[in-house]
Amino acid sequence: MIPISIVNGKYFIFDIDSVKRVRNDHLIIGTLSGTLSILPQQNILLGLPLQLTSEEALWLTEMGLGYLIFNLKSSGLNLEPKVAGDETRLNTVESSDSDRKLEIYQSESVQSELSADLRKIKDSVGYQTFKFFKSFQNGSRYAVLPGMRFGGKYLVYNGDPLRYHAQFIVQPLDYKKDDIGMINIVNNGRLSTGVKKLWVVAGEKEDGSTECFSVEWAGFG
Amino acid sequence: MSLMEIIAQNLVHFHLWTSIQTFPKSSAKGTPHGVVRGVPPKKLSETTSISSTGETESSTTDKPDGDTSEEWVLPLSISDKLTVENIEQIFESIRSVGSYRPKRIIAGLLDDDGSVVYYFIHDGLVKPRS
Repeated sequence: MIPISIVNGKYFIFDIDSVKRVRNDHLIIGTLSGTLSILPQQNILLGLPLQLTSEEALWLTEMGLGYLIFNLKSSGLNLEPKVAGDETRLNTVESSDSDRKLEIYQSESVQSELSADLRKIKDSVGYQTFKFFKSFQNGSRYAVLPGMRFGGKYLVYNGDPLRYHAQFIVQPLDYKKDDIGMINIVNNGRLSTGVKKLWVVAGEKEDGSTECFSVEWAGFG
Repeated sequence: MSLMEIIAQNLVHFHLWTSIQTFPKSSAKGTPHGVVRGVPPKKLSETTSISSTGETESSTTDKPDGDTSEEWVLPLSISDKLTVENIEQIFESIRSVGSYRPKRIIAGLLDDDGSVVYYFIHDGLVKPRS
């Protein structure tokens, strides 16, 4: 299991082997965000740690691939009253041998407390769509990145983003409530066709499955 | 003249479509202004759908007789509201009037000045054109 550190409400992987594993095996890309302490202004080439989006962190924990850890001093989380229950247990986390520490970290109660923030997005249409693409075609075939660059919520790549162009600009919507918007069809349809992608609207049905429709300029008119 | 008729006329006289057939709202239930069936002068681009099992399939329609040049056009006004559920209902509505569920429909959007733009709405995920 891969340790995901929570620092200041954000999610990071500090270990290079873990970074390689999530990228190669699960197409979790994240963003490298660390600078060198002697050159903190140099931000063209960034290194460890790898920062994860909330969706990526939640997906890794849900799939049983990662677990959350915290740094009491910088996390801002107050675990003492709710999780630890007793002082001794928390002290164990802080001081004991690493095996025991890991066991406590990975215990359900500690993990559920740490993932409280993440669980807020669990039922959102956005995360349901993220999960749909991550599990499409039996597994980690698609890389799902934030889609700001093309005006969508997510950009979906048919493999590692360094090797492939994105195929879909995805807009998650509430299946019954959200209006797609005629102007949005034209805007996003025209833009996505121009950059050889498709604009995909996705909504989660009542039975939990996700329905998608892809919009593309018809080539005339 | 209804919105559907305007779109049908635009297809016939401006884009030179043939075999136009219109299905008003009363028969194509779930569509905002009815639906138009027709054949474009040149076959429109083929699409390859991506299924959840990993198989890809090339075709434009699931039409039983294998004629793939037929297209379904959904007339829309620029002020219409459409949810993802509505699109699903429209596909099902076309299944009931046309006896098969098409792989894609074409949204024909009419603006106030009479200009019409056409956009494919594919059922599910398809491969982008290269």
